[in-house]
This record gives sequence, C-alpha cells and structure tokens, in this order.
Amino acid sequence: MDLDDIELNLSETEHSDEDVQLTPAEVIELMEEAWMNEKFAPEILPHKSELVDCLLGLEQHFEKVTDFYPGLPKEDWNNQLVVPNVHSFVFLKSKEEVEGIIIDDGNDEDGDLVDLNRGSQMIISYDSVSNLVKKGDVHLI
Amino acid sequence: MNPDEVEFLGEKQFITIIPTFNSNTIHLITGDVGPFRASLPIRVPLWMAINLKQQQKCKIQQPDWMEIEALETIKENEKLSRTFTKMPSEHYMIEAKLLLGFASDDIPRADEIRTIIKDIWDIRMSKIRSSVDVLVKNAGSYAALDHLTIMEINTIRPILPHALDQIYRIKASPR
Repeated sequence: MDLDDIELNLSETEHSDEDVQLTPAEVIELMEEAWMNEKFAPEILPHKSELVDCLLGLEQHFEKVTDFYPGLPKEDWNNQLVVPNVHSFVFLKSKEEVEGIIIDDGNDEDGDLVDLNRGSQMIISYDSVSNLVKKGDVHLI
Repeated sequence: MNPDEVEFLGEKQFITIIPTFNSNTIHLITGDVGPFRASLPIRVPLWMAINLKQQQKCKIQQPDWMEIEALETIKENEKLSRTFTKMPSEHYMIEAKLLLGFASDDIPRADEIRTIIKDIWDIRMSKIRSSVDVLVKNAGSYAALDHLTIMEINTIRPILPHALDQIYRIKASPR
C-alpha cells in the first residue's frame, strides 16, 4: 500500500460543507494538535471523530475500537460534575493571523486588545481564546 | 508535559545521515523515507537516525547550526538581544541532547558544542526568569512568548500559569 496515493476526506463543518483533502502526514499533525489541545485546555473539547475515522480508515488492521462506558449509575454522574476554571492560563501558538483578542483583566474596564501573527506564541487566559482553539486558528502548546 | 512527550515532539525533525546499508523505501504514515544507499546522504526523522545509529547502521551528519562558529554567533546574538532570538531548530535542545548523547563520535568537538549550547540555554533561562519576574510584578494578564521552544516553555509551565491565575483572582475579587 502506498500511503502517498491515499487522499483522506475530512469535512470541516465549522468552515464549510466542502470536503477538505488531507495527506496522511497532515492528519497525523492535526491529531497531534488535538492531543495537545485536549491535554492543556481546562474544558473538554469537541471530539475529533472525523480525524479518528480518517486514521481508522487508513489503518484497516487497527483493532476494533469499542465504546467504553465507565460503570457508574446515571444518577451518580450529577455528583461527579466538576466545573473547570475556564479562565486558567494556557500557552498557545497561532496558526493564523488573529486580530482583536480581548483580555479580561479582572476589572470591569475594557481590557487590552491583542493581535496574533502566524507562528506567534503567548500565555493568555483560556476563555479569551477558547473559540479560536475550537476553530483551529490557534493551538495549545 | 513530561520530558518524554517533549522529546517525542522533537524527534520528528529531519536530519541527514550517511547509511552503511542498502534498503528500499520505507513507507511511514507521515511519508516515505529512503531508498537507502550505502554512503549516500539521506534525510530521515531524528528518531530513526538515533535508532539506526544505535544499530551502527549509519553515521550522523552534524546539522549546520551545530558547528562551533554558528553556535558562537547564536550565543552572541542571544546575549546582545533583549528579547529571545529565533533558534536554528524548534527543538534545538532535544536535537543536541540526542545527537551528543548517541552520536558524539560523529560530531567533532562535541564537548565544546555541549558547553556552548548549555551557555545559550542558560542565557535564555535567565531572560525567562527576569521576564516572569516583571510580568508577575506588573500583575500582567498575558505575555508574548515568541521564539521560545517547547522545552523552554515547559520550565515555566509548573508555576507561571498558576501564579497568573492567582493574580487574576486577586484583581477580580471585590475590594
């Protein structure tokens, strides 16, 4: 099997309905970003099922992944809810140019506005950039 | 992030090796590597280079930036600049550690190189400490970290985000 000949289709619903074609190397890179985003974000991020499907389609010999539900009675789940501190600070690297990120400075005054260049890195509170993380304009490092 | 994870990220960098064997192309999920022809230089990911070196199946070609003269220039620029300069490799410390650790026989003046890289690291670490000091004293809410490598960011990860979080709580609490 020659991996270069394979084109993977990933529909990015947030950007457009058209399928985006990715090489296996690009899928791996996006998986790695998803891993780091999930690792460093204070909240649970949207599941990247399309990426996972891409990889599973690629590697037919992967063992079948079965869904896993921890055996906790349903009513107990409500007691297990933890509200994450979405204001906690994270490190990010920008993949796009982004303008006008609003900084919450802890008072009621209007916060500073910050612009990001492609490739620039920053420590910033997660809630200022959570939408950018989910859109894929920045990734956590 | 633990050091193994940082190393995992750094091992994807490509470096040049001179194989001592012949082999067909290897198909990796991230792309093809090879074919390998004995004594013809070829670019491979760092993890593969180290693996082949451990089996004594290749010599490693020192990256251009890892030569004494290049490193002296980097060190001087880092000293003169108030901000962080861009490093020649996004994972310079990982590359240096692995290459000097496993392939020091392929790298002339390895001990001197180790010392200069350590000097560059130390200069950058002292800049990080003074920047963190300024940031915390000014009760800042964000800071640019351009040109810091992941391994360097990792050194402030255990403390800086938490410190900024506490500062924010103090600022946000009603007086």
